[in-house]
Amino acid sequence: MIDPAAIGDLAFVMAAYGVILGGTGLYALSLARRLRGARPTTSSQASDQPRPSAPPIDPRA
Amino acid sequence: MATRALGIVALVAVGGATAFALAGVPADLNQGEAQRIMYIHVASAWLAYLSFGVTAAASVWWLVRRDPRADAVALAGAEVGVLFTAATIWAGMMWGRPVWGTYWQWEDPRLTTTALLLALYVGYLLIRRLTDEPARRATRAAVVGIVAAIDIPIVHFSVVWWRGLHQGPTFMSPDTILNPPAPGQFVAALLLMLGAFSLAWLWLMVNRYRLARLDWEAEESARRGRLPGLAAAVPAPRP
Repeated sequence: MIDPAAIGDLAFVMAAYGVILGGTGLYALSLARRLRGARPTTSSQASDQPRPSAPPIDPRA
Repeated sequence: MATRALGIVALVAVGGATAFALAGVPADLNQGEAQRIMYIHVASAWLAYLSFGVTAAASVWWLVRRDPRADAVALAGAEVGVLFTAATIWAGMMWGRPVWGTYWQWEDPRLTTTALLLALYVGYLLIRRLTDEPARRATRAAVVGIVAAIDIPIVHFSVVWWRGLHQGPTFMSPDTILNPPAPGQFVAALLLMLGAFSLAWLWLMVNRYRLARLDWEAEESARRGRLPGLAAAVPAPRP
């Protein structure tokens, strides 16, 4: 067990910045990955749905 | 494309602000190097407040208009807010140990109400997992999102209302903002960090919102797929 009193103030500064910036970066990466994964799923689910029938043909046209 | 540009700008800004906070400004005369944590601590706290404020406003928007975009905004605010609240608490603990001699003190009103804020919004995210039905989930979450927001002013003014270890609020009155008692370099480092973190917050919010919208659409199309012909068989409810 490291005695906290032996750790310099700079170690606390590095721990604060390192964990926050690292954590935010990891969250941003996971968000980008989830977004990339969500797009094909959504489009494939949408394509599974029955397409609406075509409008009736206007005989005058 | 615009979001990617925002991400790059935010990344550069956070890098620059961090470099300035760690190497560009001198250490504090009284607190030494530990005072450098203040820049990231205050920036995180400000964005936590902003996130939960956005969640509360979007929750009202959902309850009034039943707009799925409102629920997506509320969810984005809550999730990003939890991230920045956890960051605020972590930075505070790292600052508290060398300056106060302790990581945490439950008797301190600011610390305890901030921990409660984190618990409330973790609860908000958990409540969203209780049901798969998007509209019901959004309504339940909106109520929690509005009630939980009551804690935001309590957290902010806790250092004014009650006595504790924590220092007074950094932003309290327009006079303090326009004529800060701290040296100009310290204020510049804080404002730079606030700006950089706000850009990163915006990028996170936009992308979390997009993900929530895609999830909502996927859920809705899956529900329609599971229940073919339901709309025709069941009469529409009376308004």
